[in-house]
Amino acid sequence: MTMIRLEGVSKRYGAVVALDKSDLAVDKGEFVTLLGSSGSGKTTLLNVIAGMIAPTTGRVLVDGEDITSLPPNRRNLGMVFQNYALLPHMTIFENIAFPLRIRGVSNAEIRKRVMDVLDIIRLPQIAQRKPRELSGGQQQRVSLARCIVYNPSLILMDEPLGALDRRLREQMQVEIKKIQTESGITMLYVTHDQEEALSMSDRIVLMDNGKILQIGSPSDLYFRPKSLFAATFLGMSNILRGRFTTASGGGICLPGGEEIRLSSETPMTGEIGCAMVRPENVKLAGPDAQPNTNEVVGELVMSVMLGGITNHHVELADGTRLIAQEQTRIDRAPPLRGERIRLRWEASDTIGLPE
Amino acid sequence: MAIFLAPLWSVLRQSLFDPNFTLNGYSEIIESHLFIKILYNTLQISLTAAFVTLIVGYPIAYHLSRQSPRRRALLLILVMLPFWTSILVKSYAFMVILGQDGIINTVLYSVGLPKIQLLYNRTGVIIGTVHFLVPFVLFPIMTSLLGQNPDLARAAQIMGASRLRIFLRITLPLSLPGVAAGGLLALVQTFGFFITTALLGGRGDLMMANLIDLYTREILNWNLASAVAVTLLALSGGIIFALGRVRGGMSAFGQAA
Ligand SMILES: Nc1ncnc2c1ncn2[C@@H]1O[C@H](COP(=O)(O)OP(=O)(O)OP(=O)(O)O)[C@@H](O)[C@H]1O
Ligand SMILES: [Mg+2]
Repeated sequence: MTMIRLEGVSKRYGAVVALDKSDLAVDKGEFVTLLGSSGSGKTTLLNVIAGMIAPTTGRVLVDGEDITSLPPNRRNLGMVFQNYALLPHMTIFENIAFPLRIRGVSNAEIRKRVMDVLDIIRLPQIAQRKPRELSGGQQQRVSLARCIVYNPSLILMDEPLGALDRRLREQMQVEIKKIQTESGITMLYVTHDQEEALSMSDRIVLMDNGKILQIGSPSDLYFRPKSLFAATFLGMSNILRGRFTTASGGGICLPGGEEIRLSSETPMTGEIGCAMVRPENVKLAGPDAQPNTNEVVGELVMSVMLGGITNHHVELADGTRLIAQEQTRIDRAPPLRGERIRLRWEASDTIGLPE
Repeated sequence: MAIFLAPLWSVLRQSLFDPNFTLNGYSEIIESHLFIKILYNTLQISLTAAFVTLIVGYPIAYHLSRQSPRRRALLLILVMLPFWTSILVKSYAFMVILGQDGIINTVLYSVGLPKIQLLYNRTGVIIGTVHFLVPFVLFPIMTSLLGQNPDLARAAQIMGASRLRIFLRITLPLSLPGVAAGGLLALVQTFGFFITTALLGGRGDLMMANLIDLYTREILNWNLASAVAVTLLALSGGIIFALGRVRGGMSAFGQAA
């Protein structure tokens, strides 16, 4: 069931297009992430939903009801800020009780509900403390609790973990995701951290330059990117430039004459484009040829051991650099620098993309 | 530093030696009805003026804090203009505005309302004082308003809070240190008030500074005058000390817009 729907929403400031005409639908209970680099329009999109920014065009609907012209305080949404936005002069209890007092909830009911959410965020003992007496991670959990406590139809989060260090950020990702799944809250989350987006989201909305480029599940975006931008933004990627051919099943012809086969037909026959394959799908190969695989030969530039995995950087004759990712093996001598290496990968792992 | 301290030292000495060491000056002023009356006057006028100044200054500071930095700078200059005018000139200007045949009374009269006495009484003193003090409370209050994280109000709004609730529960309480700092600053200022009371006040509105003037020029009792001055200084010093303890009090003196 669609919880929130954006129809043709855009925002411009004079000549600046902060957000191009965008459509988006988020289902009830879904965790959707807006992912994009700085200035891509994520905050603008979020604030249009929150009602802090009036869109230039388009409509915002919650549960089928047009809320485009409602002020923020009548939308019954929740928002978690990067700097937590806890009220410094109130105790944690009063902070969480604040939205309930606005709604005229009785004192007894407030006590019960505040204590319940403090249990959910596993901080039952901090009710009487002031925000400044809490760590960043604790403050962020309180600020999430302050949203959960009044059951908003949707919780918006704008880079909520941006101010935390890496370790804490990873813990909080797990925690937020757990709370979201257990309580079934709909969340729209903003981040520019692709790992965060991949690990937490049901669906990712990839944005660039005020435009929504692609919407899909994390694995969709990772393994079936629709653009070069999407392919390079998420994870590491190997890009081979060439010209699309009509070879059986679709292919691309590299400048050196090698034919790379793609996972599917391409409508762009004759045009310049690229083939993309993820490093983890590329293997160092023996001399024996195999059917339905792509093969290139290059020179090993370096091997980088990252613990469990090793990245082999290989340069082709035309200067293209590819990375092959393998599990680190100690029972086998690693290839030497400058050695001629044969790389091989499945045609089904190869995506054809427009330039 | 020495240039500032030397006259202070000489006043302090004068209050204690006449020409030999004596506390007569102090005991005399403590027993003096005039002094007690005027101390009471001073406190009453100062507290009233500081309070009224806060009431007048807060909305202005609030309004200024919501403007774009550019507009705020422009408006601040307008607000500060009278501040740069000599207090003497301002007091005379008020005489023109508030007098028996002044602008206000002329308008009142022309619409058929009775004239009101705005000059040579407490009202006149308060009006003149408040006008002088507003810029002093403006900065500390504005600084504390501008220092507030704008996300707090946004968060509250999204949680469903009305503007009034946001102001009463968040903006106002968080600006109280600035209000306290401004109020104390205003209070200290009024202690030394002289010209305003002399020109706009009546006989019952003499303040400490006027008393010092009286002792030095009319009665020529320097020992007594100095004792009053030192008392006044101690009072102001106490308030400045309190100011330092108020959170954000320091910013009251520093950074403007
Ligand atoms: N009030 C404004 N006036 C003019 N331009 C604006 C305004 N607000 C945002 N923009 C522009 O709109 C674009 C999108 O901004 P937005 O804040 O949505 O980006 P973002 O994706 O949230 O970036 P970040 O990751 O840095 O937070 C940017 O180019 C920004 O400069
Ligand atoms: Mg942003």
